[in-house]
Formats: sequence, C-alpha cells, structure tokens
Amino acid sequence: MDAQLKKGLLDVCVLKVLEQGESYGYKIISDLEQVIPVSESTLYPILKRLETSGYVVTTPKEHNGRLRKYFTITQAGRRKIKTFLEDSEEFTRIMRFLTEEL
Amino acid sequence: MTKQTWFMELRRILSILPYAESKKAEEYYKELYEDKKDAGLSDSEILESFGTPYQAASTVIEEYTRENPSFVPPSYNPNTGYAENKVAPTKGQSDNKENNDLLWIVLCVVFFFPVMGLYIAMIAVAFGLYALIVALFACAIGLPVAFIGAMPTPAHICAWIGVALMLIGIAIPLTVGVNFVVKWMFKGTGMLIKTIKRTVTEG
Repeated sequence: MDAQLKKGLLDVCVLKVLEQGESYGYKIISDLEQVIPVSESTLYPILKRLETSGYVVTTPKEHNGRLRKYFTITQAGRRKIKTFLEDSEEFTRIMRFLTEEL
Repeated sequence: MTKQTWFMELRRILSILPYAESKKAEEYYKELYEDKKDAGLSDSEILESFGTPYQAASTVIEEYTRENPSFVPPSYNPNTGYAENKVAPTKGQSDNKENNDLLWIVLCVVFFFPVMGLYIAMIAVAFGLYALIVALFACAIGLPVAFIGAMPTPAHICAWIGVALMLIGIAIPLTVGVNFVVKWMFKGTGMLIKTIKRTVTEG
C-alpha cells in the first residue's frame, strides 16, 4: 500500500480506537492488531502527529506505581474521522470506476 | 542485548534531538516495555518486538525532522555511531569558498604595500609625537636645572616654573591624545581586516 495513503488511514484508525474511549500505547496497538498490525515504532509518530494537530490530548495517570500516558480524542479528532468517511465515499466511487470492466 | 543496553543505545542515538523530544520518546518505549512485561512477555520478546534501538530511534528522528525541516540529522552508522556533527558543504558552496579564498589572497597582495606604507608612516608619526612628549618633559625638568648656577632672581625662578608648568601642561594632554590615536590605529586596523575578510568570505 502507498505509504502516504497508509499513513492517513492509520491516523484515522487510531482516532477510531480512541473514539471508543481513552486509551494508551500498548492497548491501541492491541486493539488495532485485528484490523491492521501496527508496530511500536510506527505508532509513536502517529500519536505525536495527532497530538500536535490537536486531534488527541494526553493525560498522565498513575498505574501500578508508574505513570502511563492516556490519549483522549478531541472534537477536532471526531471531525477528522467524519471528514475522512465523507472523503472515502468519493474514493470508493473512484475505486469502482477503476476496477469495473469497461 | 539487555533492557539497559537497549535503552542506553536508544538514548545515545536520540541525543541529537532536543532533550524534551528524546525524553518523550524514551518514556513512550519505557511505558510500552512495562505494559508488555505486565502482559507476561519476556525481555527478549519485548526487545525483539521493538526492533533495534536504531530502528526505533529512526522513526522518532524522521518525525522530528518532518516537523522541523531546518533540522538536519547527522549521518549515523550503527557500528561507529554518529559522524562529526557537520553538514558537508554542497559542491556549489565548496567552489564558492575556493573563489573567496583566491579573492582574499589577491586583495592582500594588491593592497599589502600601499597599506603597509601608510601604516608605517602612521607608526613613525606616533613615535615622533612620543619623542616630542619626552622632549617637553625633559625641558620642563632640565630648564631650572640648567640655570641653577646662574644665581637666578625670584623673578627668574617664577618664570622658569611658569615655563616648566606650561610644558608639562602641553605634554600631559598630548600623551593622552597620542595614546588614544595609537590604540585606535591598531584596533581600527584589526576591525578593517576583519570587515574586509567577512565581506569577501560572505560575498
């Protein structure tokens, strides 16, 4: 798959996971595993990008005597998913055109 | 590779980034490590899933470079570490530097003799003025001494003292003035050379 396309898809996939509720690195990777396997080194820039863009916010919380960073989706993050889904309808139309027999 | 060496290596490779950035990445991997440990994975399984410290650090550096395009990471060799933190000049820059050096040499050769002539003349003038100052002081002291055997009247003594004080009065501000001029002559020459060199190098 094209790197840019995959990058965009992964951003939305992570946002979709966070739409279900706040989460942390390891759990996000585990939740995504069924749909699209993501390595630790791949997730780091995604989370950083989403945070910089204001699509997620982070909160450190205590867990087993150590701090764990929790990610929560913002309104901008939810809008990003919505926009992506709207755009994907157009993408589906193009895909149908490309794959159908002329 | 143990947990300690893996994280030490990661820290070393990320040291080219601002401290806050490298710390954030290190904390991310430490949190994942602890979570995986809690999930029952062994050290080797966890470190294997992370890949090498270089692989882990590369994505962090890549993302930082994307966010900060002015940041140019130095080249890294997993065996020997970072090359010197210098960006090699492009061919154009290198040629430009050679041209500037040549221009600088030509300027030095062309202007050496006239500038040195002027400079030597200025030093000679400064020496002359210093000699005048010494002469004024010598006169001021020598005048009363020279006439000491001439049985001077009080009027003569007053006149000599007056002349001596006048000579000293001229010599002192002259000394200050000449010192100032000589100091700025050397300082100004240094500044002039620096300015010319900067203009040639940057031009």
